[in-house]
Amino acid sequence: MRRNDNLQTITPEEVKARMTEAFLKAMSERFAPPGELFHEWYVRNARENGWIAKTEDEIIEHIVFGVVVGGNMSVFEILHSALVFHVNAFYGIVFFMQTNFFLFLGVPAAAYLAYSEIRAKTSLEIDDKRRLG
Amino acid sequence: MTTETFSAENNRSHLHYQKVARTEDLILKLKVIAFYAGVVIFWLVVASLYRGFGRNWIIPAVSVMWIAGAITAFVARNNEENTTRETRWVILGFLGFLVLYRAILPFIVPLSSAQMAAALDINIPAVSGEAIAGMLQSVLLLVSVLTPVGFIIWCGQKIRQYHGRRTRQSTFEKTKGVSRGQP
Repeated sequence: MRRNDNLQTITPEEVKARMTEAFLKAMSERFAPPGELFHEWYVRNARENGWIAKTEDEIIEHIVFGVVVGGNMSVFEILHSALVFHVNAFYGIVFFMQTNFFLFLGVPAAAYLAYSEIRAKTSLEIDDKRRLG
Repeated sequence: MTTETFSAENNRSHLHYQKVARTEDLILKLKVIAFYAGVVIFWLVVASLYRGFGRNWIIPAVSVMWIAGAITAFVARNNEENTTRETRWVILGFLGFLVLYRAILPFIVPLSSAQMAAALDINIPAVSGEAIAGMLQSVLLLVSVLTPVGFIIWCGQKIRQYHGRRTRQSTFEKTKGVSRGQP
């Protein structure tokens, strides 16, 4: 039996390209009119029927307010997410301050005690190198 | 190492004082800060263990203890270091008791008087099994209320003692005719 050595040297990119080619060929035979490739026919139909943007203004509007093809977020969605995130964060801080009001009195007092103890302990450590001469 | 040098600009200008920031000082400061930060984190952990009771009572009570300690350390300057040290140890002890209590509570509460009687081979009335839950509740309330109250009383006594000592000192000074240089 003859082994196909080419299968072991083929790269993933080549596999992808061949699969795409085969897919487009099959889809073209099934859907597209004769002499036209499937993806060209699909994009022409989409443009004519208004499924995707046609003019430059529509493209910009699409980028700002709509979902950009490819999985990226639009500007509106980014701003909206940022707004929701920050409103939630500030609400969380306010809620924490509301429920732990006494914490904000106790922690500065503890900090003052730490400062006071450090001052009391280190003030005894002065090197008094007195020289008379 | 940073060195500050103070020289007295008077007729005896050869007098020098040196204040040296040494590594031991730095370690001491870091130790103190770490201890206080640890106590504060422990405080929050204990409060979260007690849920509603922690949020509504342990956090305010320990806050009041911190504030009382800080005021005492600020007012009674002669006992500053002592006050700070005792404040943090009292708070740490209080929180330690609460943690231990929270840890052993689930093991004690389900014990019935019949189980206890069987384990110890003695007669225990059934009513005492019901009373033990109330006693545990009372112990928690008493300790968690009386410790901060006692600490505040201790702080007040310390401030009062400081003022008493000052009054006595000034009286002696007046009696002896020692002036502080103030009219």
